[in-house]
Order: sequence, then structure tokens, then C-alpha cells
Amino acid sequence: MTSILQALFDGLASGAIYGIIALGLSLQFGVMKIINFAHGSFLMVAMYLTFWATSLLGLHLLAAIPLVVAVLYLVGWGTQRWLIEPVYRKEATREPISVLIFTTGLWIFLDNLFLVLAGPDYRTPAGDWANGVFVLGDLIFTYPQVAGLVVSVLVTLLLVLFMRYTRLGRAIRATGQDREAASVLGIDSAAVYRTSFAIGLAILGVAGALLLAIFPVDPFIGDLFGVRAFIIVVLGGIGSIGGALAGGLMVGLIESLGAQFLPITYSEALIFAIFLAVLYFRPQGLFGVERA
Amino acid sequence: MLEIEGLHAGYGDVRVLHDVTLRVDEGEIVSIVGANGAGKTTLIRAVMGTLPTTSGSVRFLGERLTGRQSHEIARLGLAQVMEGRRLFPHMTVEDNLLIGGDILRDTARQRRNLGWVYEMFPRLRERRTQLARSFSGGEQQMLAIARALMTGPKLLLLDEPSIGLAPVMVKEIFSRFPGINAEGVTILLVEQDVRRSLSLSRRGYVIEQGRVVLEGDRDFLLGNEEVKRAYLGV
Repeated sequence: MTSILQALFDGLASGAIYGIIALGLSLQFGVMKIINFAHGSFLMVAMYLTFWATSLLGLHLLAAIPLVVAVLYLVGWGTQRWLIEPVYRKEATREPISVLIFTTGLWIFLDNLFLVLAGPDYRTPAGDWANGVFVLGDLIFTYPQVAGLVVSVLVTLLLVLFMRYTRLGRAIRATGQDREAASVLGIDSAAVYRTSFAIGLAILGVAGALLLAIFPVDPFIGDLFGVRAFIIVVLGGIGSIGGALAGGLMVGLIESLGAQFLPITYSEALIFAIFLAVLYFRPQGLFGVERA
Repeated sequence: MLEIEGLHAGYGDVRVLHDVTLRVDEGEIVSIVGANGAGKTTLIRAVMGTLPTTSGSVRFLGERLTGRQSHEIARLGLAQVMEGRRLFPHMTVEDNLLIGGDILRDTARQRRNLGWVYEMFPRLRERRTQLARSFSGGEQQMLAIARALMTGPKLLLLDEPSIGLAPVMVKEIFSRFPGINAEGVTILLVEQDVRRSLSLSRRGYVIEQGRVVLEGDRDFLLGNEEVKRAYLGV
């Protein structure tokens, strides 16, 4: 019984982080209808930035979060403005296929860039905060798990409120639903895209820092979590913020509870089996809205 | 107020508009009428910058619109009610309206405009928390018009407001235009319902195959034999 409870908590804790890894991807896809294949690589970048902030600058991992978020926001804005936008504009009247190919190239470029910059070794954050635990009876809660759970839920909630109640959030939603209708109402869709992409990466900055506390980074870590993020976005429903968190929690739970009963490699297969089943019965995702 | 001169526009290699020249003066209601496929929607899109123009010029209050982006054109005081209404389906009625008012960057004015359009269409106030996609065609058209008015436009471009609506609804919607006009909003009305739109207008233009073939004031056009035969079924 204890081991089930422990697995339940472990699943929720990592699932919450998976959820906010997927959040930015969902936002970008929901608004721009472009698939950012470099998403996992940007996560890897965020993890290295966190690693360097703790090792080179000697910052506490949690204190590194605002710094990483700021850098990722600027990287996101710049990527959209100077790299994706020129490609996107050439394809304004058709499906943005070249953007897809471009982000795939960016993925491979970033992975190899960091192989050169950081070497192939696994890195864990400096400082011993990540090893701290709360003990409650037979259950063990690590500091990174608790922080990950709390911060992920908070970030999701903040994004929901931002999208619902601010002028910018409204503009982002409107552009995602009908770009041309939004533009004739005075909304600059290019500016909305830059902001959406930047916010997507800023959230990824939070996720990267939290993930580094429970998972070591290497230059190709993005492959694993990038694919997982795609699954979560589709599970939860593209563009649905709460859906991304729910999808993340689901994947985390399947992974940890599955490992209680099945060999670890099976739980990965189980994630994909459930993913396919959801796609079959509810193609719009668990929390997605059906689109005409 | 709006001056279009020698405008050519189209989609890719397909030319739709040929040398269109027309104008709208401040305070007027002007109709552009013509059959389906005559180029009426293309004309509106060329004005709003959602379709690039090949040559010619569009000026609004002396400012050149050609080459500008849609959101910049909207910020000059033009609002378009798009064909097919194009609401934000997964947003509430009130969010659809607030988006229109966001352009003002003035919360007090936005609130005032919201009160104004709710007064004009009380049904929207009653249903302000509902999703736009749950609406009937007529209610959606009201919302589309109200959303455009939220921007506080000087010139309102109405693209086929009667399309897909029951006759009683069309009558109801059209009955609002003189009131909107009286509040200082100049109206350019693009319609297939020739009699109804010309009756409301001071002047009108008839477009056929992308060219202006006839223009004049209401009584001239309604009395014209060609117009009677081709559009009024007389």
C-alpha cells in the first residue's frame, strides 16, 4: 500500500513537470498552428542554463528560475522574430511546412551546439538542495518533487488567468481562433506570435529548471522529453492549458504506477498505447474542443 | 473620406477587380451592389489590406492605405464586418466584444462602447456569457456588427450582412443601419440584396465582373432600367 501511495505521489510530481514542459508547445501550436520540433532542445538549453547558474554563478536552483525564464523569453522572442517569422511570412497563404522543417533543423543544431559547448556528460545541479527530503511515515517527498508540483500548478494557473483576463491574453486567443478576423480588429498578429512564442519558451525555462532537479541533463535529453511533450499536448487537447497539465499528470502516473506492476520498459509502451487509444476515441484530446 | 482610384486586385494570377474608382464621403451610407462573384468582397478585402492590391490607390482621410497591414488600417478608424461573420467561436459574447474595444487602449471608452452596443442589441447583453458559436445566424450577425462598432470606427464596411439570414432577420438587422449612421459612423454597404441596400443609401455603385458599370444616387439607380431588369426583377 505504501509503495502504491509513494508511486502515486512520484507520478504526480514528475507528471506536473511534464505538464508544464508541454504547456509552451501547446500554446505555440494552438495560436500559430506551427509545430516546433525544437521544443525539446529548448528544454535542454533551459536545463543547461540552470546547471550553469547553479555551478558557475553559485545560485540556488530556485533562485536561478527567474534568470532562466528571462533568458528563454528573449531567446523565444528572437527566434520567432528573426528565424521563424521570415520563413512563415513566405508561406502566409499556405500550410507552413517550411517552418516545420526549419524547427527540425534548429533541433539538430541546438543539440550539437550543446554537445560542443557542454560535452557529452550528464550534469546535475550544484548544491545539495536537490537531495533534501520530507519524510512522512513511510513516504518520502523530495524537495524538488514538492517544488515541482507546487510551481507547475501555479504556472498553469497563472497562464489560465493571463489568457482569460488580460488584453494580451484575449489577443492571443483571438489570433489563434481566426487570424484574419483578429487583424481587421487591429490586432498585430506578428506581434502576437512573437509574444506567444516567447511566453512558450519562458514557461519552458521554469520547466527546465524544475526538471534538472530530478533528472540529469545531457545534450540529447530533449529527444526524450520533446516526444513526451507532443504526446501530452495531443492527449490533453491542443491549445488547452488545463489539458496540458492533466495530460502531463496522466503520463507521470502511468509511468510510476505502471512501474509498480510491469517492467519499466513496458510502462513506456503503456504511455503510447493509451495515447493511441485516446487518439482513436477522442481525436480532439481529452480536454480539447472539437474544431470545425 | 474613402477614395479608391484605379484599383486592380485579385488572387494570384486571377484578376478580380479592374480599374475600380469610387468614393465615400463622411456621413454617407453608400452601397456597392452586384451579383455573386462580381468582386464586392474582393474590394472590401483590398481596402482592409487582407488582400494585396496590384495597382491603384486607396486613401482614407488622406492617408494611403495600399501597402499597409490590416491592423494598421483598422487603427486608422476602419472596421469591417466580414462575410460569414467570422466570430471567435470559442469565446464568450462579451470577450468577442471586448476584443473589438481593445484597439482603443482606453478602458473607459471601451466600457462606454460596450454599453452603447448592448443598448443597440439588448439580446447580446442577455447572452453575454454564452459562447459565440451557440448563436443563431441572426444573433451572430448582430454580434459581428457590435464587435466592429466596439472599435469606435469612423467608417464601417459591411460585407453581405444579409447572407444566410431569414428575411425577418435581414429586415431587423438593416433597420439598425440608419441609427448607427446617425451616431456619426459612415457606412459602406456591400450587398446582393440590391433593393434593400439601395433604399437605405444615399448613393450606390453597381459592380459587374470586377468593374464599376453604373453609379449614382439612390433614386437614379432604383429607377434605372438596367438595374430594374438585372437586379430588382421588375
